[in-house]
Amino acid sequence: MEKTDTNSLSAGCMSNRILSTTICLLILTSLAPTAAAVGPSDSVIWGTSYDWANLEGDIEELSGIDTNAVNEDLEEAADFAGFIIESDQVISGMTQFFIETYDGDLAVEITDPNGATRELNERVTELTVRHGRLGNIGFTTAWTDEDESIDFWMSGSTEEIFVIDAVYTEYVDDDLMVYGGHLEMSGEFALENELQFNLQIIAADEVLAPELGMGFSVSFEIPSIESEWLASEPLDYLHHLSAPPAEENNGSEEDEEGAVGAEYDGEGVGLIEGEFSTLTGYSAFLSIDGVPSEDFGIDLDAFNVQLSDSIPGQGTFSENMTVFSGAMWGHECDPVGGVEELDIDPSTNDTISAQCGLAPPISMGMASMMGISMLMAFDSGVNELFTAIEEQVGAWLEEIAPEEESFICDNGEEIPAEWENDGEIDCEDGSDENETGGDGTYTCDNGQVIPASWVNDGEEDCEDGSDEDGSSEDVFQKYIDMYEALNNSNLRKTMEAFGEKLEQLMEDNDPSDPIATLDDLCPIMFWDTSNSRVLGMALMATDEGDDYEVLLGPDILGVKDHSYELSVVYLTGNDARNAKLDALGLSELKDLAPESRHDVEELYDMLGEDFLPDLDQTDTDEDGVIDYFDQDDDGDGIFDWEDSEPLVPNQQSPPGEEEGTDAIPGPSVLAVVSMLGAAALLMPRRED
Amino acid sequence: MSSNRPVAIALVGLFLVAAWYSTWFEITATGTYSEGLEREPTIRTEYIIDNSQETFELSIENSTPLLLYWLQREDVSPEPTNQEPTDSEPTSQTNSEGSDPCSGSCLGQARGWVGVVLVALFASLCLSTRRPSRLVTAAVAAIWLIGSVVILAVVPLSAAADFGISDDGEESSTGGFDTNTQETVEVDQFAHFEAESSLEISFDGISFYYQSLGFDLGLLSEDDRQQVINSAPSEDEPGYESLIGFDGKMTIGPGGILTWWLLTAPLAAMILLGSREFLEEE
Repeated sequence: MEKTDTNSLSAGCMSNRILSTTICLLILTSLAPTAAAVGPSDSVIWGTSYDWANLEGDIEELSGIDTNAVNEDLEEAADFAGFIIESDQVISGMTQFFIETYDGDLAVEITDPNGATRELNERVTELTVRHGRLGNIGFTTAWTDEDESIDFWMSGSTEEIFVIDAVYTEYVDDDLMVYGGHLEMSGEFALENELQFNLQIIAADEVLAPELGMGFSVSFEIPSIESEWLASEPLDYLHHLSAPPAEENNGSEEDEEGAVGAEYDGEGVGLIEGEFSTLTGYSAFLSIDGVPSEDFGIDLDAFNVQLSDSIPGQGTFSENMTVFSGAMWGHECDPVGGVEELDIDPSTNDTISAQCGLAPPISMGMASMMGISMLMAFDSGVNELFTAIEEQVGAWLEEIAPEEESFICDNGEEIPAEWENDGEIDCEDGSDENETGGDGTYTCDNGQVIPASWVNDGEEDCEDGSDEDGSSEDVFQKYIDMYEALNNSNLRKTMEAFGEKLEQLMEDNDPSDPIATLDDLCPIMFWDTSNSRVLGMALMATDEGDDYEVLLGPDILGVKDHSYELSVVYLTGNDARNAKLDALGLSELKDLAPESRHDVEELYDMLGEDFLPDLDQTDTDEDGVIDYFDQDDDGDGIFDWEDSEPLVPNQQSPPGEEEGTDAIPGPSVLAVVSMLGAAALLMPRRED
Repeated sequence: MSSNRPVAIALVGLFLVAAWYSTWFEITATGTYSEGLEREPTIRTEYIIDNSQETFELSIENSTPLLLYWLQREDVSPEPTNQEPTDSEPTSQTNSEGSDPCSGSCLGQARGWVGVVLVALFASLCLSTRRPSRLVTAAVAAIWLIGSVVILAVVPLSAAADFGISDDGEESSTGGFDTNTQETVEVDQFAHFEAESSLEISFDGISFYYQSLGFDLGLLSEDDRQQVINSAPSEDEPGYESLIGFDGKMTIGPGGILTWWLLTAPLAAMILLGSREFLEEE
């Protein structure tokens, strides 16, 4: 639709070249996504980027735990004990966030709530968040004795996406007094999880083979939120946060370690008004197969239940604005503290002085506006959903809550039902022990006396069987027999051998002895006192000698960088600007966590066809690796996700998407054989 | 023709195996709340019987308004009378026993019957090639007809019996929804209830179409119910929010087993015809 509009407008622009060029540029600008902007080249920008494919390596680097070695230890220990275990996990995707702040070029006129017009400056903060992650986990185990066996298969998957683009413009005067702000934002949050279990137990000549699948997804899309806040009076929270370390002022409080906290409490500081549009969705499914439902009086062997909804919402809101803020200066994060010199832009090598401490990374006016705006938008769509879930869960809980059954004694006294015939007299008149003796015995119909606890225990203890009224002839006997058969097998010994061997193998992978001490992790924000804004952040961690080093952050003069090979990247200056520009083009899960980079080939080998039941087996470049697992389809040595012209495989249904099932029923091979048979019948024979 | 018979027998065997492993019976239903609920929630169900299990699938699209509707509505059905059953009136226990003659395993027995007719058809056709006779021909025809009855009637009826559905003359849950008598509200939960249904027979099976519209008294406060019962509220009047419209379609039919079973008929005829020629030659 946008494309058509643009084309028609462009055609109209041809008559007057200058005017049309100007109009076309304006239109094209307006077609750009809202709330996705790039600041000027002299802005302050910082952020981080992380590639989740390196998670296992980073865990090993920091903790010394090699997750692949742990998997191998598990497999070796199981092999030693005489059974099979295989497990694997794959995570891929990307997380990036950027905060960019700059002063607007133009002055803006604001009419304050008192009707006075003021010319103010704009301070712009842009927040860009991109997070997309795919995760799969698989686990199989197979144990067998002479007559008993256990096979277990498990597959789990997760998909996450979190995208935020927010542009906040704060209205300030030359003294950095705040008069209000304007927020434009869009975003998406989605989470999907699925889990499938297949279990087969053979014991006591019985087979139990349940298959269970479950999953849920939630999503919350914000195509747009726009809101504006005008302060009822000029606010000084930017000054407040800039208070130098150890300087007492209103709301400041020194703690035991000498840090000074600056708090700002601004409740009801004007009105925030805005409009939003949202789309809230959810789905959930549960499928059960192979459960011995007939044992429990259910006539279904397999069932699959699915709920889904997508709730559009839009509206306006008007709420009281609240700004809470705070900072803490002078806290110990040795050797960093007080004022430090930072290399804020590696491309220029310029250094800048910054006050170190803890402060909000974005203006709290922005945080409050985002919080209130999102809450209003969230409430519109999800409130209905939450009400339904809350009421449904309440109803279920009410249904499954055990009813307190009671027994009424002959004298009218009420006692819990389970006290009846328990061998102890609980009613004052003794009427609760009318079948068993008061000494914990039961008298059979033939006069035989047996312990009361043997009554209705599933075994006939009286010679005439009168201790069993049939109520305990339960369906669970089969499972009790299976449990006993497993208990009498070598399962227990196998598990003991497995545990001992695993303990021995895991000695070199001891998670209690990490390389980096993350307990001492120390976060720091760098504050520009002259402009009242955060210049960046750092995470400090101690090295083997208990000295702090920069784990994540800019170069700080005189402070050493960490010595680990980590994949998390801190970006400032032009590096951050370029990375943010790239990130703005990525807003879908397929961009942030492409399946082509999510290598599940080993999981497929381990879990088999049930993992990807409808996997397309096409191998376009005929290199022996099917397209789904082939990370370089055209064999040019460049990974497909980095290749500008990758070979496009045959367009076929992606795995998991079944094609139409309305064809003639029956297996296709069978149909072919039938047709051949029919042809053989109908073809005229030579002798005819 | 006789030289073709081994191929035909093999094909019949193949079709019977296909029949055994295909779907035996299928019910699909779709219902949409066309009035009263936001975004028209839709319920889809599928019930399938095959040689080993019964599968039930249920999906609800735009489920939130429907969940809220189900949860928020109040049961307004009249209290059951506490009348002791007399000797002449069979108790419900007796009724349920009577309607479930195979103790919940009717479908299991029906599966046995299907297995028997499939094997019997194949065996009788084989016999007809070895020892052709009019008796064998009649037996093949009888088995085929019995098989058709088992597939078309015994399997669905046994499933229904296992579920406890029986033709015992009990009033259906929607049987009393009629505005003409003005008495429906005393026994049912809707006022001014109107329903239309139609039936269609096609290759897919029998399709039932159902449309209903009525004011659900369970959505109204006790004080408002009588007012709605007395006169149906129009769009702007209080009580109109309880109007619920429902459009449904249910298709009942045999699954793939019928296709494979029908395909055996011409082949069986061909085999029997060959046998007849052989008999006539003799």
